[in-house]
Amino acid sequence: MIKASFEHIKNSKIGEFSLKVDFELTSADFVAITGKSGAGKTSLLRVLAGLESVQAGRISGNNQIWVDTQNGEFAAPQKRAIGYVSQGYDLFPNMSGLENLQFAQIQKENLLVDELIDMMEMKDFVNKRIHQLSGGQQQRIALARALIRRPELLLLDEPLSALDKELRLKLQSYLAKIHEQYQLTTMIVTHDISEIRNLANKVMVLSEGRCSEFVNAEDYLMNFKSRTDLSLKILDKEMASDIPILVLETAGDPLRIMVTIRQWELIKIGEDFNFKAETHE
Amino acid sequence: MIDMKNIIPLILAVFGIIYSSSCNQKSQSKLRIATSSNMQFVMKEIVSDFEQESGIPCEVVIGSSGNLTAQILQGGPFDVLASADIEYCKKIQKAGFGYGEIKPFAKGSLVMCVKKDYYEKGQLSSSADDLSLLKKPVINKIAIPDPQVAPYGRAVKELLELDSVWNELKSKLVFGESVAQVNHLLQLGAVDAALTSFSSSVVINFEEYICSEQFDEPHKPILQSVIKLNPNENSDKFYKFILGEKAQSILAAHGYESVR
Amino acid sequence: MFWQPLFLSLKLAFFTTVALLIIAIPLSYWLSKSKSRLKPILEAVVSLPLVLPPTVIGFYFLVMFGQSSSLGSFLSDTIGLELIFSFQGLVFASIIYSMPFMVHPIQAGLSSLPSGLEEASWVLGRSKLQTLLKVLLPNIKASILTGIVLSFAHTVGEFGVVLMIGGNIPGVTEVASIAIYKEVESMNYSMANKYSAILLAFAFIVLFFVYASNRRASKTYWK
Repeated sequence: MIKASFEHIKNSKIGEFSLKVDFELTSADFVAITGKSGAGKTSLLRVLAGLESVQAGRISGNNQIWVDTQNGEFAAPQKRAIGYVSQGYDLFPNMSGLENLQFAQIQKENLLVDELIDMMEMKDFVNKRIHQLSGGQQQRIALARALIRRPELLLLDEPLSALDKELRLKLQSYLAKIHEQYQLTTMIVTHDISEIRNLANKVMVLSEGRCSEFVNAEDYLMNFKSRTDLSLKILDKEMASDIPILVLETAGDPLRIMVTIRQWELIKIGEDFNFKAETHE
Repeated sequence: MIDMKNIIPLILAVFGIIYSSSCNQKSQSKLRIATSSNMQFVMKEIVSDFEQESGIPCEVVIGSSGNLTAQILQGGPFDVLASADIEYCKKIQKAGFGYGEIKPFAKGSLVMCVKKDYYEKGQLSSSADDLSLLKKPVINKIAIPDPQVAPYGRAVKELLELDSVWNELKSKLVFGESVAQVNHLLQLGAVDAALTSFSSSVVINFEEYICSEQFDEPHKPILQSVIKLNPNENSDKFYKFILGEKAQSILAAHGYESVR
Repeated sequence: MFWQPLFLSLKLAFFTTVALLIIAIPLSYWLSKSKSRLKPILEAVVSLPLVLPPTVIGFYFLVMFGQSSSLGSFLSDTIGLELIFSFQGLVFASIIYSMPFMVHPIQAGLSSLPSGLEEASWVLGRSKLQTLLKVLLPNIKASILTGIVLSFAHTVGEFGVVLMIGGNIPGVTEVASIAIYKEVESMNYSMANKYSAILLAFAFIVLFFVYASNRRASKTYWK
């Protein structure tokens, strides 16, 4: 259970940035946070984790008061029983994967560590040093490490962004499993529609430091048909197959997409062309 | 980055520096006198008198006898050496860098200084030239010039050995690398007692200390000696001057004994 | 004894380096994170020995801690601590003199670590001290090693300060650099050469070992 109402201001070379939100989450909510870059999504997680200060407001979670500026209260990150996976994972390079996990243990009970190693299929590489692991392996270690302490709130900052589609779906299933098993309240920053579709029950959209939408996932999805099945057909050209479209941003208007055309003979650089976008479910 | 605009002023600057420093070298028709640091004050007076009388411009270079000798043996640019100890002059002569005779021109002697405090507090009573005073427990640190490198230090060691107190006092000793350093320690009041050159006590007022009269020398004499390093006229003139009446009276006023 | 000055130099450098590690780590940590106005003042003070001639440090030491000063006599009367003409005094002075050589590399190392590392540790429940010891320091081993080597070597090479406040007492404060100077002054060049050659060889071997192991470590550690 999280209740947050605050304003966080950050001064940088570009100017002042203000994040002002007011929301409430119930236990076992799985919230997807989405929005343009620079909207404040990472800052939101960092404030909840206790890594950034709050100019004014109140945040309470897990039956504790984490922040209360009026009474000068501020709970350090150590006290907040939170699991946090940053965009860079921040795994400790001087340790192996296993040691990173063990670092998170409070008591020397290996049960949870073993459980997670099994569940996320990490046995083969858990003893390697961090720099020897692939992106996907690192991501799994980072996720497991955040879970060892059985946090009541899990904050994930684009945890699957660097992964290919297959691995991404696999890890989504881990997340779903974990969420179900441990009933964790989870907030995940993502641009990926499949994550919203497969995992979230609520969606929060941030725009320029403000929450522009906070709705149930189904409602959000209804207004936003999944476009991972979008493909491009170039008119007046013979094509072997339609070209898949990579959707860069699932929120925002207009929608940003990226298309990779490998058939050089088809289109020359600088040439205009007509196309049709089709969905297939 | 280095481009034509920058490089010319840079080159000019470098040449300018080299030129001006070499200019100084050339205009050096001054008589260069090397002297050990314990004689810095008396030598300045002697040299200024000499300059007035002879009209020859001089430059006094002060250093420790050991360092100066080392430089001279490497062909250092000095014309005359006035050393605190005849041994250094002998080394130079042996190596062939000296001209003419080595002449001792003054005798140095030792003095003992003890902190006034101890007298004032009644912790000490015997006179300040009583070496056995140094054995008292209230005297913890005694500064002397280092016997290994300073002629006066050697003399101190001899003095203490001859009085049979060297072994007892060894643990209290603190070594200055020169008479000058011992004097610094005295001026800062950093030690309980010290043995230094008598001429130092004549010229410098060691405020916190009572100094004895100069010791009669049971030790081997400390012969301040002079040797010419350059066979030119000016060196000869200075050589003669330092052995002459005027210089000798200055030396006496500074606490040096005559050699005769 | 021939080996005594060399042994003294090593002893002095050893104690100084250990003391510096203990002092410099919390100091560097504070400096690397602080944004307070005190920071430039503290940084300037720490760095002074880089700029000041050692004789200045020696001089002030004599004035502040010598018998004649109130501080000096207080220290020796109450806790029997003599800082002039003693080995402890040399250690104390060396700590000040070599401080920037330990602080700068460690501070630079800590500053170069991604801030996310310690944040991750905090969120995992570790205190700042535990984080410093178990996460940060192990990841700047090269910097710490640099600090140790530089401080150690710098202390072995110390001359001006020791000359002024050590009293050149054989077996107590006559370290190798002083012994070499004395041998040169008394024109015992072969002795001076022996001492110098040993110091040179020692310094080279230590530095070579450090750089060689650094190279090996950096190959495997960071991608």
